[in-house]
Amino acid sequence: MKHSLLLLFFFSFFYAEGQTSFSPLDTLSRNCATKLKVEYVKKFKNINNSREYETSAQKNIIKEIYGGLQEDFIEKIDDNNFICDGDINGYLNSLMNEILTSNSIDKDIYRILLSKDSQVNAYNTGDGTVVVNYGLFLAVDNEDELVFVICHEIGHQFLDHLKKDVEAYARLSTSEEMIKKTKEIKKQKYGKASMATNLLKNIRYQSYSERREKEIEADSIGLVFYRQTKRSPAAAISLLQKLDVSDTEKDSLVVEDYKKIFEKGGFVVKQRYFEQEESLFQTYTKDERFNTDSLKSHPDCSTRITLIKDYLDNKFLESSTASSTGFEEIKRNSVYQNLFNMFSAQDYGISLYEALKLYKHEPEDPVLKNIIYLNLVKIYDSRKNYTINRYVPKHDNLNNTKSLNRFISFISNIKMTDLETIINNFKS
Amino acid sequence: MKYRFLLILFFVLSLTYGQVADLGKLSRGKFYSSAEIKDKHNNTRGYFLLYETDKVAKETYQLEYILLDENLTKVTNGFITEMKYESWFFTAKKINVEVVLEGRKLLIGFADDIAGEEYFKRYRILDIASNELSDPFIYNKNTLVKNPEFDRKHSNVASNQSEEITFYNGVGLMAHSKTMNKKQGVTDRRIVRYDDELNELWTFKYDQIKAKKLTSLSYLNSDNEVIVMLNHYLKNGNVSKYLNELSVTFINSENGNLIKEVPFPKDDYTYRVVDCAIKDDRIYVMGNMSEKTKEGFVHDSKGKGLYKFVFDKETGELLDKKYLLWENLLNNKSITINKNGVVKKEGKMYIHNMLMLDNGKVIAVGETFLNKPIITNNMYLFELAEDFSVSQCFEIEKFRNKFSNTNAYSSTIKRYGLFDFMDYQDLGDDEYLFFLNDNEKNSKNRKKTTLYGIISYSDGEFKRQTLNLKTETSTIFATSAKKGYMLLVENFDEETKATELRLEKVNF
Repeated sequence: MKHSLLLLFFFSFFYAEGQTSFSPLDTLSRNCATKLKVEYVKKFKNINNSREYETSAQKNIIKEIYGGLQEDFIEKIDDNNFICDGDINGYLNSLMNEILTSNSIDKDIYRILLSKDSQVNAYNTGDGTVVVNYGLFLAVDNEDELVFVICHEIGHQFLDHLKKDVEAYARLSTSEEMIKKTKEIKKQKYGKASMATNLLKNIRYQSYSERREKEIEADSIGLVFYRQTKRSPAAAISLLQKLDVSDTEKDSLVVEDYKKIFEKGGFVVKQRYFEQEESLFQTYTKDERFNTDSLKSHPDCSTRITLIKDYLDNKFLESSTASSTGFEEIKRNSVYQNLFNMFSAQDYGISLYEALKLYKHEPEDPVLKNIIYLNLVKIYDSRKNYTINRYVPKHDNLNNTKSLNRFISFISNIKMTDLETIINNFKS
Repeated sequence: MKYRFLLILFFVLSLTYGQVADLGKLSRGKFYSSAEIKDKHNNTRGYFLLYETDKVAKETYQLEYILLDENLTKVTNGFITEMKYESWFFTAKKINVEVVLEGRKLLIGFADDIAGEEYFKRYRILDIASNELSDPFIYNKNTLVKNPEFDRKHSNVASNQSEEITFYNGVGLMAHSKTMNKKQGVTDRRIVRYDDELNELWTFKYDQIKAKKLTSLSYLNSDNEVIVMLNHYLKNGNVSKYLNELSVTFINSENGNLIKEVPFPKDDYTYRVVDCAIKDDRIYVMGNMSEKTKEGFVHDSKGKGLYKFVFDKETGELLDKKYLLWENLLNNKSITINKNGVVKKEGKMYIHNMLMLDNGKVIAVGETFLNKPIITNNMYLFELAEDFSVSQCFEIEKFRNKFSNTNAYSSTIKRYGLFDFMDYQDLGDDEYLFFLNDNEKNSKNRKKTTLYGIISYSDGEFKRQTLNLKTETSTIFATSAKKGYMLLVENFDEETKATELRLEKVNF
């Protein structure tokens, strides 16, 4: 607790001194987690007691699946994954209420939570809960887009997608046909594993295909809900267009940037800090067993955009509805808050990397300077203790950008004494 | 930073419940073995893993191989069919793999593991540029057989396995046949070079079945001009006996012609070769020597010192000999060693490596030990000047491991991995890292800290640091990894927590 308060103090201090009006949300307090846990343990108990089953065999499977999902959710609460800030939660609630009211949907089961996860994402847990990741605020440009995301997730809940998925799975798993096929495979002397793998592969492809259909259904009903809010239909399309290009890194760090950022107080950035041993391997091939297109959980964004445009009969407004002041304030703070969230989730490497990309454009920004300092201190300690790879990602020539690999080289290769120097340079 | 932008359902069908879970169990693979891919500088460049995925016929299995790069990212995978020996009495539980890298080709040796012994050796080559794996091949009865028809019949064991095939540095694929069998018409020993398409380029024949004295060649080093082999002569007869006669044999890499055979000096010593380096127009053969023994194997208790022989690469002429005698270190302040190479209170000196630096110096990596019972003690790193005088002796204090009721020669202690020295990394520019285990072997005592020693050699200076991996909730193993890194494998007590693999940069 002492550590948490100190951390908030560090960030808030610059609220007064700096140019920005950033004050971080309290993502570290345990009070919220304690209350949320009580609420959800009770909620899960009620749901589990009222659930009905077709057969006892299916009952066991369904109970097992929900048990696992609920356990994971409680673990997230225990890990302090959810942000309990009166203002921001109140704001999200108001958006959800707007959707539910304008569509005359019973509000009782619905609940919206904000996760501090920086991944640009949102999900529905099937029990009426819609979780919005904080990272989503970085991606959306206006309130309409955020409302469309919530509409989509309410759509999943409204259509009972999770329940239907679980029940369909339980039916499949206990069906006479599946039992017969499994018995037949077990009887085989040779080739058992290949037969089982092929059968599983088909089930998996089928399941992913159904999930893609469900996403389109959620888009479709989400759009119906969304239109009732009288907000601009353009948001649905602009959001999906952003989704389409979201994998592309928007900015990067080159050697010159490191020089610009770190060459202070006599410290000189050396070329060898960026050296990465050339890999033997230049060609990475896909897994032969699976057709990866068949394993996509979501349809392509272009397909979804076309369907939405068709649905709107190509008549949609280009401009968005004016966002509320609540949204504007959250959006303004989202960059800093996201860095703070990553720091508090111990993702020191990514928090530092993202902070440096911003800092190179804003070298006078005290909040960025401070988060760089805090991350560097943590990284220094972890290098000393040989735990850096827990907090900083490893080189990955397949999935990382060149810029990220360059950053990892810098953090790994820089001499500890030089790291001490740059920490001192960032210490205020 | 790569963000995944998804609006997902919370439920991910993991296919682990009910009847489908049974299918999952049936389809699950079984781990067989793995091998580190190392380059000629002893640096890890990747990993090769082999799994059994299905039994497709009698003694025949579908296997999956997975290739990981130096960062543990999956490069490729593929499926092959291989036989594995099974009978009512003995069964090979797994297939072992070993890998050798040359350029962008990876030679993979497969062998059935029957009670710890390897049988039915066969090879394939993985082309790293295209990720294509070749059909199997063996070298048998002086012929390289592509895609041989395998069986696992007792009567056919000899025809079903390969003699040694490997990559020689800078040369390429080589087969080394040591078996001579008059009945099979195999009457000589030979080394054969092949091109990338497995066509024979040349053959070097070196022994006849009727010879009074047999040659036993083993590979030391090579480049695209010369292959350096060590020869330890044997007396031919009903039972072959090694003689105290060693020589270095130089073979032309291009055409397989003998350049020269140079016998070791006929003096009061028996020599053991530790390392061989080829630099510019010189070849350096380095090792340790002991009092003379009858069969030419060094005497652990009567070590005499270290040596370096320098040869001309083109002609094989011996140009220079340098010796470091332990008796010359009797007054050395850094080590209390007697004239037989025995360190006071610690034991005899085993030399793991002798590494040639670009500046002409040599680093010898030594570890003290006792044979009965086996005890491993402190390590010593000697920096030897060009004239082979000791310019630095760096002592590394470490845990004293004792193996009760044991008795073994140093070569056996090394073979069974009982020494604490783990490995070294050549970082280039005369910088090295040395790794050692500093723990009680097989200890399950959590109160003890798990320690690994790392010694860096940089700018001519040795520095030691200790990696303390103390943890109350897990067990951590450390091993050398890609250049400048260690791989830490942390197994947690909590069963649901997955093993954590971390690549950690060594600070120095």
